[in-house]
Amino acid sequence: MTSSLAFTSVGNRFAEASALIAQSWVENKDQTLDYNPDFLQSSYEYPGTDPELSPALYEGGELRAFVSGFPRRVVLQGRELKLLLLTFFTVAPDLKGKGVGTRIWAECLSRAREAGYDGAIHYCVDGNKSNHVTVRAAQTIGLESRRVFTVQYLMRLLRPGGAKKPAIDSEAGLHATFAQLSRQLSATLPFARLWDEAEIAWECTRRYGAMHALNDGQGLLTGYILENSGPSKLSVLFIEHILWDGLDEAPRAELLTELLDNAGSAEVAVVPLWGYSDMGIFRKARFRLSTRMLHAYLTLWNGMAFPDLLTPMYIDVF
Amino acid sequence: MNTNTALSTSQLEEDLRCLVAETGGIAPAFDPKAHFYDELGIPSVKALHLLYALEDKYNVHVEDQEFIQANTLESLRAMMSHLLEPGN
Repeated sequence: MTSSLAFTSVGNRFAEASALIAQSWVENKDQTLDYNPDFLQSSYEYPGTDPELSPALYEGGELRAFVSGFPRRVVLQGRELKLLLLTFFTVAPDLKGKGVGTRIWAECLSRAREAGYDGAIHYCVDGNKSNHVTVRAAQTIGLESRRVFTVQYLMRLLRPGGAKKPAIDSEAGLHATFAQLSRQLSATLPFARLWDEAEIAWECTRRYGAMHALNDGQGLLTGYILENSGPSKLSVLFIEHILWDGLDEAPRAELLTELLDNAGSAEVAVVPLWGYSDMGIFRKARFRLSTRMLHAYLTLWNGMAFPDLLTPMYIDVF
Repeated sequence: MNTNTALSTSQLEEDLRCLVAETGGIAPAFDPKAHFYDELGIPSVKALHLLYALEDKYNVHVEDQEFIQANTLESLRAMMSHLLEPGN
């Protein structure tokens, strides 16, 4: 049956995709976030997303496997690259172990190459089978995927319900601060994201569950809120961008307090350790090292040499 | 400094077994050599609850890295035994 698979694209079937993720990812080592249909739709609204770069397998009209691809522009050791972020890698439980995941992953990489991308980036939770499947899949089409970073997390339990009314920041000020601070940061790092205005607007404002705390022109924390996939459906604040290098300790602490206050419904806060920012304030705010670890992989095909382990990296986890 | 009176090794292990089962949401009859996260499937949020519970119950500070490495009941018991030694 699986020898005659034909891949199309996931299209806008977000409810089906969300349900399939929930079924397929149950066996993963750690609880994941609950990627609900609205979150997936919001993800596909990311500027420049090409739906053809999300190959999917259907059987009898039913979605059975897919992977999502989203564009990322980065600078790697001084060279600007267009990478495809591969994420939401999902295979129906009864199709696992039959080579479907390998083929769909390879298909996604092939489409990215044809579409003019320089490479791809993806993440796998430590201990999950996808660490092997994805690397092997790249090998089947003559590409190499190499682990370049391992992300640890800090985590803290929150007391939900005590939300203050968030300050109303102007979108223009928010976006301008993000642009300025992320540009400054990216200029100092061996691997960093690059942003245009539309991407910043999505990241700060339009994405599902978007949340931020802003010290105008000088510091910014952004993140989003989503439930996790556990039976208790904990609401999780995922802190994404820490852009506060120009701030002293006291205003950093104020910014973090403001973000946690804004995330009134959240019961857990999580922040990845990419190494690009001092995380002392998080430690002082009683964040603890999590048992969860994530591996970052690069796949490069346009003559770019693989870097050694990248420390630090400025990129988003997805 | 902790304020615990001396616990026997077996008593400590049984106390920890109960604590791991309760905070980790698993049945208490688990293998003392089983990996909490890879084999018993305790998710990271519940591991954080376990860390808090250890510090509260035994009135000690547990270093994050040590806690993460103490990923079986046996290794957790060894870590806590050390932390509960007089003078720590």
